[in-house]
Amino acid sequence: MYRRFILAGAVAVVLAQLLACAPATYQKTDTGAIPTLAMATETWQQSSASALPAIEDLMQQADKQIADSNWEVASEKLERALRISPDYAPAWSRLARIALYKDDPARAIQMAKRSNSYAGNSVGLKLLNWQFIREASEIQGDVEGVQNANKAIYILQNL
Amino acid sequence: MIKKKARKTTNHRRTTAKKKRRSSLRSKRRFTLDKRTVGWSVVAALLLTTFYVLWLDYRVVDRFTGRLWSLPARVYARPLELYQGKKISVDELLFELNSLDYQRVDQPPARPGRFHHWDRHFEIKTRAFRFWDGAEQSREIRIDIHGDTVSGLYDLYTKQAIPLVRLDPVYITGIFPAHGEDRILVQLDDAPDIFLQMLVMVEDRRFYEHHGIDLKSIARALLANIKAGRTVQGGSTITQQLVKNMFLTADRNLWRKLNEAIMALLLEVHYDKDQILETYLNEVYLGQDSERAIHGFGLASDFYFGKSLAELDLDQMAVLIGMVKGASYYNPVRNPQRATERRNTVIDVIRDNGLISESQAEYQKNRKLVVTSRNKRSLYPAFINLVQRQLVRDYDAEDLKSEGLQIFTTLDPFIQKATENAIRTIVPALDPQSDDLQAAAVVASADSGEILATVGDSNPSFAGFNRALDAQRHIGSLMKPVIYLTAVKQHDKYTLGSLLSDTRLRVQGEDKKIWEPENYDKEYHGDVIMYDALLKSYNIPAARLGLELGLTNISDSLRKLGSNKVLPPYPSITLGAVDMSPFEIASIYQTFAANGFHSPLRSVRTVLDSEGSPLKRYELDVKRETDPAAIALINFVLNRVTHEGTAKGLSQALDMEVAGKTGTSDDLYDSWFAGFSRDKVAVVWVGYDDQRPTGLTGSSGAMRVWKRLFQGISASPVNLDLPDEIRMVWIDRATGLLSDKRCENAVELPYIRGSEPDTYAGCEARSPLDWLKNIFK
Repeated sequence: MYRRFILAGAVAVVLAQLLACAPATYQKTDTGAIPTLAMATETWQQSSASALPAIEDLMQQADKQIADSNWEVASEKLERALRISPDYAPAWSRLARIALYKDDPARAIQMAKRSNSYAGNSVGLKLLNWQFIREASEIQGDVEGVQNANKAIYILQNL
Repeated sequence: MIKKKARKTTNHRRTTAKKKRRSSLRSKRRFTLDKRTVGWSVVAALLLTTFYVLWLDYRVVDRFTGRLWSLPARVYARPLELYQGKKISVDELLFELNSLDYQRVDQPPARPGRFHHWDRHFEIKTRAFRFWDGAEQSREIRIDIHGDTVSGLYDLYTKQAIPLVRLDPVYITGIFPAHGEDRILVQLDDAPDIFLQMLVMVEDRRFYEHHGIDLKSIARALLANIKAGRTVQGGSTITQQLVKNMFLTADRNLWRKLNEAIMALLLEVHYDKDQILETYLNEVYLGQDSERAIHGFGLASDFYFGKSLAELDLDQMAVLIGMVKGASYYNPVRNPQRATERRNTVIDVIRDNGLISESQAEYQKNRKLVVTSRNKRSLYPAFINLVQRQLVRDYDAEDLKSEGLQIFTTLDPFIQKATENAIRTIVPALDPQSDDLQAAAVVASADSGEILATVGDSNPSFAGFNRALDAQRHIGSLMKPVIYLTAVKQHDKYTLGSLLSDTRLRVQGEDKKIWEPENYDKEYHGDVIMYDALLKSYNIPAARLGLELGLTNISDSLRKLGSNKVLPPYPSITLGAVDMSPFEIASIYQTFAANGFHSPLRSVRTVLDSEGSPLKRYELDVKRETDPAAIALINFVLNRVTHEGTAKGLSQALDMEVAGKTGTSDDLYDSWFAGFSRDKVAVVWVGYDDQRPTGLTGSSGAMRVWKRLFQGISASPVNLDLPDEIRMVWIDRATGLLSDKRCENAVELPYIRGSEPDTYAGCEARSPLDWLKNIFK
């Protein structure tokens, strides 16, 4: 029991140190550190219960449509996946990606936030979603949004 | 005298001769005039006839050039997706298959639209269908259900696992033009060969030989009619029948017959036999369903037998072909005996022509006539009303009735049926003395805002006032979660442990009137923590807090939750003295159910044109404007409400964790319940249209309907996991200060980190563990 509290304390100290070390203004980080959708999905899957074959099937179909720039068909496939499993974070993340392709930054931010709300401990997927939020904020000219995204990316990259 | 007489005679002769001469001249002149008249008349007649024929020709070509028919929009329910792990009961799957008119057979299904079912196993041959994101092929599948979950889904013959199968969607209704003609277009290639052979054999044996009219057949009919002394046989070809149906009236006179013959010839000049036959297949009148006229064999197959034309059995084909002679007289629903006799005559004709053998004919004639016809127009009127309201934003009302659009909605027929059953069963029992107690309900997907079911009347199939969308009623205590949410968003100031005063409150509104709210139990409870105030739905603490927060802040919270309601500036709005519909409430509570992500409620997913090409997609939309941690605090309480609050025992009765809030308006005019599981949000209202007191609270009225609904459907329990920024803390109910869980009055509540109290109430256990806990705090 005591061990839990000591551990919690240790994590808190590390986090505090990380925050203290973080620069006051967060510069755009190297995008090379941001995983691809496929990599992020893989890491997410490793950290959560395995997806249903139905979801995997729909995600494959969606990715094929994304590759062919068929945004609407891809979105429909992703929405079908989300009806089956609403908390399947990689599907929300892909919807954010599609929204960016379709030049709809406001939607991209909301989809990425939704993905993050289900991303659990998947650092890779969270990094990717924050990258989408940063891109969308840049398009919107939202300086504060870009700063917040940079801050989140910085913390995640240094965990 | 004689001279006189002779002179008279001579005169007379002269006069007569003159007359004769004049007459001969006149007759010569008349003869000349008549020849010219006749000549001109002939020319004029020829010209008139030519113009008339040209005009008829123009009519024929004009009608056939553009779109032949106004096609009503076809509205479908959501397609059922089947996959391993899908939560579905055997009853639910059977309900879906029956709604789709799949035929149950005793062996592995050989044709699409059939299934074999035993115990918890299904073998289904699905129908092919074109969806927005692509075509779904017909497949032969095997499904095993274990508990209420699909445990196996694989190919019936290869035994290979299949990840996902989408069934065709249940047809709900059409959006019809004023004349009520409805049809499902079939192409000639879609019609089975044997069907076409039968049709031609019965209706026009020499169809492929004549040029629109068949003199032999007319002569034969004439002879038969003379013999019988009345009309017993018609000599009309299929082309003539088509002309009659498309251009002419039903009058039986010579002029019409002449027009019919000319137009039939013209039709054959311009169009080939296949085009004429295909048009005939779709035009022929085959019965009536209230104001809806059933046209064409495509719709007739679906209407009478619940199948496509390609799926019909031979005896069923014979029934439909037999109906051509008299759709009403040989209607298999109203006159099954006559329809059977006519069917047998058709079977005899095809046997006599060698299409089937004697034994096959006997077998077909011995088959029982089974029709699956039901009035599909009266299904789900409240939901269809909602669909039409969504569509008119993007489509012209006329286009909806004529363009043959295919509308794919979000309706879940099983949940709709469960909602209707819950209302039909519970509402009459709530007030057995009266028969006008009304109810309405809206069920939506928690994550996407898709409407799964809508009921607008205590008689759900009645298409009248749609209370789900249009009833504007005081929402009562359903407002309280909004007020407490507004408070805990300011978590440095308010927490679930904050003490609120439940003492006498007198307020003067902007209208100078004094408002003095009371609790339901008419008592004051002194200081209560926010958690208890919401749990027990006390009025005075909510009103006082609401006034303290300000109506502007409450309006802002409501807007962020998904409501467009402009609140009037009265203090009583803090207790829900504001009118809303069940639909508007569902929109607000969807945001709670989705942890702060609001998705606008929608009833349509996609629209395809009549050819199956994608037209429009209503995409999933989400917006989070409310702090998820604040939502999590309120949802925690809404779950506890179903254990120890005004909805006590609800989660236990459902054997599943749910969350919700009862609502009762002043003088018990309105009984509400708004609640959610992990995946579904539902709102139920019960009350009288004329605002009579119902004698019902939220829990004794609407909640009973809600409970019955959730007992009838599959749902997932609410997620009780809290976000990282929240921790659970034991506090003392009387003071809102820290407490030990072993103390009396202790309750464990969620706090946003940093907002929890830092001092202990009187009862604190001083174990070494507590000491260490305090250090870490």
